[in-house]
Amino acid sequence: MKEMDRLVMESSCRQLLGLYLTSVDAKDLDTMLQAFAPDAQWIRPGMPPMKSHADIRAFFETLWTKQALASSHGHLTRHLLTTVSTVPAGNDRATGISYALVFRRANFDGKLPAPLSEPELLVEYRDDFVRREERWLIGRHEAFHVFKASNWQPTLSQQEVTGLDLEGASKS
Amino acid sequence: MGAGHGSGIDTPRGCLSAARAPVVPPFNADLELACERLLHRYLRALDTRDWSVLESVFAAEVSFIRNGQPPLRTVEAIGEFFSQLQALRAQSGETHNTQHHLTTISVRARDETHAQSVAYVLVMRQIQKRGSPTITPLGAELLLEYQDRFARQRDEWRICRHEAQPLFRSPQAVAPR
Repeated sequence: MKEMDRLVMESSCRQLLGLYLTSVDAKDLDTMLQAFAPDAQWIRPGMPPMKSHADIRAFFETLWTKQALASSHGHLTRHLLTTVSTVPAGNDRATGISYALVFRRANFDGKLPAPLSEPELLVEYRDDFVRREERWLIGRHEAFHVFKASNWQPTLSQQEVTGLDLEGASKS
Repeated sequence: MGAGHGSGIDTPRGCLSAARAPVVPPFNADLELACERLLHRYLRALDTRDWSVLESVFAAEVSFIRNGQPPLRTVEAIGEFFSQLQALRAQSGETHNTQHHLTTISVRARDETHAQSVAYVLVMRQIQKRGSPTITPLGAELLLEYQDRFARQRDEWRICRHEAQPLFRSPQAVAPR
């Protein structure tokens, strides 16, 4: 990859992560999915891989619906992207490792600012980026929980995850 | 507040309102870096209290909204606001040492001369009181969301609308002014 292409790749990949994280915090699925290739794989701890936009949409709609049932404002979250390292893997592919601190207020009452406590998670993201028709997209996204607050709990139970009927659950 | 959110009000001349949907990827690296650089420069100005830098960050006609207060409309008014805040703290014998950490940022081009961004900023603050050796422990005080709009004017990018919204605040934080 030429130096100028590499700079564009690095900036684009970082922007993709920014678009994804700000959209997930805004619960804006349509915008968020613009960061992902249509056949993107998304691997989260404790659940089968998501293998399409439909899978990703099903997961987040279920998650946010459950959060909203517990409190009308759902959860207030912010994913703070810190370290980002991207490496070219050919002209149209790249890999990335990045870190994010996750702040969350469960059962948010709608009043800002919410009390600030310690981050709930420190997540490591491992991404494969692909360039298609001059657009960089996330082709594979995997999240590892590196540090967790002692009171962290997944929002969806195993039964609820199974109930999602993800495409990836039958093929993995 | 959501990604790409903007009310469309308080839009200075030369600064696009939020009514038109922003362009989605492909991205424009030059533009993204220029806009991110402006935010870095602004945050550094806050931490060094060098208000002369603000002129190279904000457009002459600007809408600057902080803590839900009425907008400041000129770069001079922004500089004056921060100078007065600094003077107030000095009068009460306090020095506030801050670090504003820019973390997640999403810049979206709207056309060749306009862009908008959503960014998260983690604010660390130590307060040193005059005559006291005690410095409050280092800790995150605030998590802010910045929503900015940028305009390219005479070949220079500037922030033409800035809104800062505190999303999380430490219970030990100083009261906002």
